[in-house]
Amino acid sequence: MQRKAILAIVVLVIIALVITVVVRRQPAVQPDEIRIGIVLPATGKFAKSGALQRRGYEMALLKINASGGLNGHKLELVYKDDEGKPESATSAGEALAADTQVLAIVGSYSSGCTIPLASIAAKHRIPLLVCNASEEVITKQNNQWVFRSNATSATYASTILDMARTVGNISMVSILYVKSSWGAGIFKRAMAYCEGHGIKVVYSAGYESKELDFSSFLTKAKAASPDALLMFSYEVDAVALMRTARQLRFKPKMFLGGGAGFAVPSFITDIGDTAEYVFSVAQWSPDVNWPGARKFNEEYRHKYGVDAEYHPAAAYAALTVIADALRRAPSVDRDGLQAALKQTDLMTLYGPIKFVDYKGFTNQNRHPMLVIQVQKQKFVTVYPQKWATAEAVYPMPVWSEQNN
Amino acid sequence: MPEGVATFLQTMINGVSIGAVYAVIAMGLALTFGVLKVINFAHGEFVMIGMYSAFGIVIAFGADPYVGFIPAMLICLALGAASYWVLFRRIEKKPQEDGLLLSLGLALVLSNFALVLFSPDYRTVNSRYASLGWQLCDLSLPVGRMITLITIILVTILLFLFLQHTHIGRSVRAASQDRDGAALAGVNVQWMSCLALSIGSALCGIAGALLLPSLHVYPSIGSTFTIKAFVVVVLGGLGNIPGALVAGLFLGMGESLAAVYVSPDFKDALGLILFLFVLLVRPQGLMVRKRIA
Repeated sequence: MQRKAILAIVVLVIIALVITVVVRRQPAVQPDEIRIGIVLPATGKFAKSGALQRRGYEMALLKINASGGLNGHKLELVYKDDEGKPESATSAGEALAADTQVLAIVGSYSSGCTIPLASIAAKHRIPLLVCNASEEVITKQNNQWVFRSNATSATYASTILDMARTVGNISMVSILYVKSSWGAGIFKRAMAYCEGHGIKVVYSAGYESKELDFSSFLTKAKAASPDALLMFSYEVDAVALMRTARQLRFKPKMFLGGGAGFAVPSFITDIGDTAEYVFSVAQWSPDVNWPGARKFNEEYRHKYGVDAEYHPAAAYAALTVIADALRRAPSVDRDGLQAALKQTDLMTLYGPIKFVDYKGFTNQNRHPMLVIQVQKQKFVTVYPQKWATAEAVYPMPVWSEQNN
Repeated sequence: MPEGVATFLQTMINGVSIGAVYAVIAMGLALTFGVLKVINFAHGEFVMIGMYSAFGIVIAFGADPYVGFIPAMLICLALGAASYWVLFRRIEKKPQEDGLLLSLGLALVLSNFALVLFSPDYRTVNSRYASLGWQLCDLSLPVGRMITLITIILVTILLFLFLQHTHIGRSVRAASQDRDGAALAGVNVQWMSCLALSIGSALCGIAGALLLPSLHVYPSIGSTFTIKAFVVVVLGGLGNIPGALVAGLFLGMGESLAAVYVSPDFKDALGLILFLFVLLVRPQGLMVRKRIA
């Protein structure tokens, strides 16, 4: 027995030594490189969205370094995977904050993972630029170290419901939402909007993100006979909800998606024509007339074979903002960057970006949102009028017309 | 059809279709437990393997996902047999806890192996007709679920025919009822254990493959099914295969009704509440007649 124990210990020690030798070390930082940390979900349930964000970051990196870098310094990105889990986001943020060469953190994708990053930003005095997470609280804590370029959940809710109300004359809605920080928060915003604008919420329910079977939720949502079904879901549940809605032949006048899973390309490729005519609110789309948007889309399409959507565009714009701030910064360090970010007033492909304090928000950019719709297996912008490139199709063609 | 009735019937249809899936997975667990007397925590992982197998077949050969259940079943059959010969055979004479820990270890190994092979990304397949629904009066019969239901009914019938009317099937039941007695009667209990674990795993493989078009697969999805299977098997009586069938359907319908008429939050809670209730009040299961000790 003792021999076995000694053998086990020796084996463990050997394994530990092998691991420390084999694990690749971070290449030593060149003194003239500037490092920015990026937290995104490379793996896990938001992996597809994380991959889309990464494309935007990579395109921006190439652009910035190709045009001479930042005052002669090369930009380097340090990626950390948050796996879609807040605990992993916390360790990713701590690791980046501890690396004194990293001047700022950009990310993450989900609100659940961004909220801990905000605390880390304040604790370690490192600027955090949020470009996707929309839960209000992230910029409502008087936290001077957190900046957000994207619109908040309230804007998501009001934009999609405004469209439904003014364009589709929707007066009764069923709402389904995923029980995450984002989902629960945006649901409250949607309820507040409906109350304030005379839309009746005939049924609402939150579901666990691990939910396997949506038939009972949709059976009930259908039984309430709403004009529209509003859903706040991530990539996996958005697909499952639409599949199940179709199976149950539930076809309200409009399917309204609250962004996230409804605005990613895999939503269309995973379910094909089941995605047709589904609306979603979006932060950006390839046909807006902000300077550089169309050109960005062309480059993206050339590189990746598909049209861009808001995740890579927001990521690209975020790095553009960081680069602009670093060029203006009084000193090339975290404090200097924070001061420069506060003074940002930049027109980008993502629209005008200016971080302001208003209505309880700190360092929030007042970003307008759009509504897109899936038409002929592509996303087109349908609202508001000034950016629309296509007419909204509603009510949903009857199932049998669409060949179910 | 009045709306209330339509909603009720639709809820029942939804419940039966998910209940059938719970039932087939649970019957596999009941079979395994009956013969091996091991609480198999790796059971749900075979559903995951079935899902990935079907996914692989669809991606590699462009096959229809519903046809993928045959290779998925065969792969799980083989893996079940392998896990018996390599692992479970060695703990036959040992106390029950050893089997439990072994199955836990197997579950971890299988899910992490899947993690390495397939990455943690969520995958799904698009089947055009799986999203369609047949119209019957005011009710919707989703095509995918009906195919699943019919396949499971056929598989269940075959399973019962096998267990009741074939020599090997009766030997399996004998080994389940009284291991030593069966051995004395000339039954090769090792082969029966291997067969039980293989068939149990194969049933999971079938369920997984049939579920793939409606779900996303990811490496850790197995544990969700393991828990559901346990709840069903406890409700139906450990080792009781007809019990697992009835309890599975009962749980599926119960969850569906609870979700629609009580609250969606109650859906998963219902199963667990029933589970606790049965363990406290009638631990031998709802379907089993009280045995006089």
